[in-house]
Amino acid sequence: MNQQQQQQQALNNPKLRKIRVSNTNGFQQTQTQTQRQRKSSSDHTSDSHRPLKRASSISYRVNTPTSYIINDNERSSSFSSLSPSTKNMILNRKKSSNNLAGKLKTKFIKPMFRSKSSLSINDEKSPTTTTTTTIKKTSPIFEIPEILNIILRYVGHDDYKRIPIESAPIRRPPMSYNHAVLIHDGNKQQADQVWSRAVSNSSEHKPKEKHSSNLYNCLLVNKLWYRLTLEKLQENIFFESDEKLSKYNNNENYSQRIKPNSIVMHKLKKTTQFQIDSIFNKSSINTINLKWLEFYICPNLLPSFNLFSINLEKLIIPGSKLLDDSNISKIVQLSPNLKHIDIRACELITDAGIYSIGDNCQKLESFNCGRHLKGQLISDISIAKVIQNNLNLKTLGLAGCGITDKIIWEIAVILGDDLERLSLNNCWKLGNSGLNLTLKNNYFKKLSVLEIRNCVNITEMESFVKFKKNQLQKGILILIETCELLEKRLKDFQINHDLEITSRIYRDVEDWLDDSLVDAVDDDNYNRFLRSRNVIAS
Amino acid sequence: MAVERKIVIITSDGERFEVERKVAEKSILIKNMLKNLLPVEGEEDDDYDEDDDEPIEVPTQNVRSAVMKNILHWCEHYKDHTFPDDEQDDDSKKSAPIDAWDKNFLNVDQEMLYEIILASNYLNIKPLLNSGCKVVAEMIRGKSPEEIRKTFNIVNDFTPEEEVAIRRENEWAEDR
Repeated sequence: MNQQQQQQQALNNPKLRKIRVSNTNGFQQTQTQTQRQRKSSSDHTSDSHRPLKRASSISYRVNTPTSYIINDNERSSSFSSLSPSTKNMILNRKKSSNNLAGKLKTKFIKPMFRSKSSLSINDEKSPTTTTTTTIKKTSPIFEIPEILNIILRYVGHDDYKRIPIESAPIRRPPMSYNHAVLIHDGNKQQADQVWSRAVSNSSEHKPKEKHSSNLYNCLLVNKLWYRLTLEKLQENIFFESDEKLSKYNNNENYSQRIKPNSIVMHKLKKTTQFQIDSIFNKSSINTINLKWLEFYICPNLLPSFNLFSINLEKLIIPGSKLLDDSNISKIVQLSPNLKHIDIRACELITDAGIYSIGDNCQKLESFNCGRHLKGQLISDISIAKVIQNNLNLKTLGLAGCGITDKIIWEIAVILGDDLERLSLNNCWKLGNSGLNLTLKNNYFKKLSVLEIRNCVNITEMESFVKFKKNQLQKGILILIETCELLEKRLKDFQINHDLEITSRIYRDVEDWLDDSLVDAVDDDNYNRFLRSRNVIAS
Repeated sequence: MAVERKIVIITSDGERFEVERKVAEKSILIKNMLKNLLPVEGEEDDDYDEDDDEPIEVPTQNVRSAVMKNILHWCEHYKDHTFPDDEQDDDSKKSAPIDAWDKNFLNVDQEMLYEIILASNYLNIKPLLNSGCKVVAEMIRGKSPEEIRKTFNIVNDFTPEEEVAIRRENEWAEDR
């Protein structure tokens, strides 16, 4: 539909004609432009036509909004080809033409049409303002892949936070109500709270990140967005429901190569190994960026072996019922640069597996092979190999392993300067000659978390209490996680210890007072003081 | 000791901006340009004599003066600030909120925002580019595809069939 037709139609509408008339009356300049516009209606290159075109389309809009939008697009394409300064002029003019519409409304229309017609004019005003914001052409920033890529990266920045992750409690929940009371130094109220929380839910649940469709929505914008967003989405592949994973599995026609940074499977119980392999056991997966591979409590699943590259840094497979010595030794040969290994509760693994980890990996920063069952399968020999080859270890989890005080010395001598967290819960073989002596001799300079739950053979608590004090003096907050029995031992010792110290102080003060009384006879000041007191008294 | 030579940035519409060297060097493009033109500061070269008073002119064909004014304002604000190496693109940085000053600085109309992003890309000013992109990302978040297209005037080049296929193929990514 061309300009003339539009105008014609506008003029045929009596109500609108009125607006136009008043328009031309009020603004002479606009009217002359109207005439010019009629002569060369298709010529948009000169900006002098703009205001008028706007005025005509405003009036026209009331009848057929769709063609107005077409008209608008047509304008915007020619608009973008103009020089910036002219654009500014145009924008300013647009504003004034908006004002014009506003003025018209208040000056002429309102008094003339009261109820219904003035309403329709009112309705018209809001679309006008929205069209001015969308009037521009697509900005090149949405067409340059590099920039769009950065934008999408920020759109999906919280995608990373949605990766399901085991919530690490700051403190473990107490093991019994008495334990809670002990931990909180007899503060019953606090103990009540902590204990009820521990009973209702074994771990404190932090509010989960809300699900988001931000990136998904970007997929559907256009083809360029689709391509870039899909890359972003596949950077972190994570599933915490079998159903979602099966949907991913259905999607066979991803032609592009997947280049994930992380692959996380969280508590998938129904998914089969076949499904996992059909997704990941493909040559189209590029593992060059894959740093983080996690199969968290997926007892019946193992990561496909082609996912293990030399670049992998983090392997987390706790609770696997399939991971055995031969698997793990194959894995560490493929990925010797692992920094984090978490194979808690993988009960098939024995000394042989642990030894091969120690043999192949030299960059470990955290290692956890804690378990509740079959602890006797892991002993000092294999753990010693891991420690000797990984001098950067900061976190070491050996809970429930059949290790002895001998390995504690090994840890203390080799890792003592750097180790920050050490878990020895349920290590039934530990006694008084390991931790007690090493702590007393000031190994473990940076240790801030020490877990010794249920290590019932540790009976001497002196070194623990003194160690705690020393660390505090150095500004290191130390947390010693204990069970009820050990906590009681710890507290009893602490009380006795404190009592002893206070009595010592008391004795010292007493001695000093005795001394000062003796000295006072010779003390001039003291005599003067006594005299002044006597004066006041008398 | 010679006085530091002046740098004049000339915009596409011919306006001249005289700036300190360290302000101009926030743009890696200009920095590299100057590296070739000027000896390293402190290492004074006696060969330069009368030429030293002449300001160095840096033409920037893709940036108009209104945008350049904003960009130089930004560079001036950060002239003594060294940004950490951008290569270390870890996720904590990704999720960092927009710097408050930048947010206020970028509180301009959409067209200007786009032009600043475009210019900072051309001039290679990474921190500004990132802040600008963060602002746009915030505008995208929580919007439906249709709303995104509308906000940024993007033309949908999918056929309805393609759109259905994409929705079906990517169900796994919906609401994750």
